[in-house]
Amino acid sequence: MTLFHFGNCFALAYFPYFITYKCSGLSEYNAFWRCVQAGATYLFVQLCKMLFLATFFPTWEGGAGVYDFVGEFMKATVDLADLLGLHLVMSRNAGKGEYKIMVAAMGWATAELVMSRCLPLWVGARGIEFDWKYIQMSFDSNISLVHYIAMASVVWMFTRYDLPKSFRLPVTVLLGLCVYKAFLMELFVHMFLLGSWTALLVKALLTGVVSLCSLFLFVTLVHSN
Amino acid sequence: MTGRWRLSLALLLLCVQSSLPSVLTAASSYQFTAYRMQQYHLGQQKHGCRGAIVVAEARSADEPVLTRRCVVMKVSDLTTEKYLEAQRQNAAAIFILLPQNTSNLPFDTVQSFMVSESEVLQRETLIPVYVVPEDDQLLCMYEEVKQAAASRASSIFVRVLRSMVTAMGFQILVGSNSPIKPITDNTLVTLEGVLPGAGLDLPTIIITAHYDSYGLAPWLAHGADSNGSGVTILLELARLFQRLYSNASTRPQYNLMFSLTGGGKYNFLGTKKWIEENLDHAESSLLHDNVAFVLCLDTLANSDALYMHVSRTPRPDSPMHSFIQHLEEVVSSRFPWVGLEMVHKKINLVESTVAWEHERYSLRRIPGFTLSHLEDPKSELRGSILDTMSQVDFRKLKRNGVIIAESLARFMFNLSDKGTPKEVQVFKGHMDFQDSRLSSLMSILTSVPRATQLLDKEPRQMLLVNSLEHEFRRYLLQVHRHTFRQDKRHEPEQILPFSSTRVKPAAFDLFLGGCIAAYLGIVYYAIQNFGYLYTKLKSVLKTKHA
Repeated sequence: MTLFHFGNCFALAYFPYFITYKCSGLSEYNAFWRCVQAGATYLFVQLCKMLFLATFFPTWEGGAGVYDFVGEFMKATVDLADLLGLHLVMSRNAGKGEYKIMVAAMGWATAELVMSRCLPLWVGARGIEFDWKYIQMSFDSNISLVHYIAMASVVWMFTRYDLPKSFRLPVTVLLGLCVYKAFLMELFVHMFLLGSWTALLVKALLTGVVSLCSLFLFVTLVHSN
Repeated sequence: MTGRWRLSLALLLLCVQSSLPSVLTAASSYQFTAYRMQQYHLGQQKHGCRGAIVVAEARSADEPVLTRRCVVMKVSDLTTEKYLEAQRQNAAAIFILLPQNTSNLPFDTVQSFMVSESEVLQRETLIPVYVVPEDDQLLCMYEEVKQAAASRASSIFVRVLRSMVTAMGFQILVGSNSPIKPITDNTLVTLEGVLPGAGLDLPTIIITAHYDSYGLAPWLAHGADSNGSGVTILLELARLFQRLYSNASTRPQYNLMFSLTGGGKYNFLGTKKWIEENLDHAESSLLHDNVAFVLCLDTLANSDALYMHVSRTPRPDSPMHSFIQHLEEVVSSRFPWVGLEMVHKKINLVESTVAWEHERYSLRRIPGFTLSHLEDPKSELRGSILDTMSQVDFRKLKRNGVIIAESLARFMFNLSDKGTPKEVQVFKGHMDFQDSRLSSLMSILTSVPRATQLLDKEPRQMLLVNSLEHEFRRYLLQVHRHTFRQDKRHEPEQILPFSSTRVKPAAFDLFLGGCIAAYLGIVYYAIQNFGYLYTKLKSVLKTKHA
């Protein structure tokens, strides 16, 4: 029944994306092709990041087991390119704020799902050996979806010309949190030696907090005038 | 446009899938090696297990249904009843977990295991039997299957819950597909060496021991007591008597011949071939002429009993009788707590197994006897994988060596009229048995499994045989190495790689599918009503600002 297990994991990973696409009204705007474009931008940005990392960050010969904080911090900084990529996608799409955010986020997250999760699921979940990590991977993709929506909205807010002064700081903080979320997660896991399920829970909480804050700011921004 | 894109994606997936099967077999499961039980024909009787391939789910031995499952048991679990039960139910395989440190096992466990082991080896079976060294992962697996068996007794609700959610099954697969090929060109090596006495036409005393070992799995048969002890005593005797022989004033009027024979556990084939070689094929040999007697050493590292096994009561005027009297003198005078007994067992030509090594000599009319601390030739201590250094008591080994050496010296130099064994001690001081040499010889002999199947093929075992020859050449003269081809067939004992993968029961997948469906339902509901949340938030903020 291991194909069944693969089906379980795939459904768990993919259905929220499908539901989000259908229910957010994107299908009415014929946004499929634009989402694919956003996905292509994601691929391009990842390629650039990989080249940059490979060129300027040689393998650290630090002590084994010692978590190289500074190195990982620098590597996480490269994730700023994600923000630039999102901004690029959004600037090329004309339309309302929500439309732009949703298109960018959907395309980006779907590309990440296909590239980084489909293959491990196909190879691993179909095998005879059972491991909980595939279910965790699928949950993780759900969390990523919410994360990217939040990130896209924060980027959009950051680039607005009519952003009130008082919002600058929270938006920047949220932006920083988004970029360094992966780094923070690894830090927590190392420091508190979290189990895999606990780490997933912490990640979900973190993403939830970030997305609620960004939602709050978004609503305030859009409907304050 | 989208149609073409979909087609290319489909083609891409197809290519990826076709290249993946090799990746799939390298799934992350736990790899371990297992040692197969040996298998051989001896005469007409077949022994051992015939099968090797295992693809089965692991089960504890306590479970009622074992058909086509792999039975996993620890050393303490193996009993003849359970083994026969597994056979009767056509189990797929039997795995025996061997602890790393066998010296920690309680005595009765060791005894019962040895008994079951010897009984298991008597029969032939189609079920593959493997011995696996224990480690943490395998112990985890054992605990899991044992718990699964124990939960059979609990209520049906608990059982269903277990089978759906928490149970973890284990699938055991053999890692290699190579078929088992029988090997027919096995060779035996027998070493001989002589310390020539002072004079011509002297009678010869032969001291012999077989150096191979026997057990359930050949790669795990270290044979410390049986017969590492015999080899150790023989080599020490060679060293000490070489000192006596090197000095012309102390050279006795006997030739002393030493022989280390292979194939001892298979009816002493090495001995038989060596006797034939010397008596039938060699032009002149010490065995032709005057042989006083043959002393065979077999299992001498434990216990305060010593048995002299003879096939015919020695005649009162024979050298053997005289030597036996010397043995009794030495024991009663110096070691009175040792029980020395003679066991008279007639040679039964109809029987398929040869009990002791001296029987081979007796068949050719050469008088001889075997010295052993075992009374029963069919004792399970003579061939077990648990026969490790923990079965060896070095003090008793040394004591037995001293008994033999002193008796030999008193016999050869006729020391009875010089004084009692307590007064006249030949082997003491710098001529004493060296403890360090005894222990290092034992360690070397037990460091490598000395099963007959491995001695002529594996590099470490061949090195050991070469070392034994080297030892002979160090102390003895006229050292010869005889190589005989063996006329018994057996299958090669492979160390096979295995993998154990954790599987979940089928009901678990359905249960998980149900849970995921429920979760997706919640997500759908949440996303559908997201707009509601949005408007609520908007109104809250509007009221705040207004």
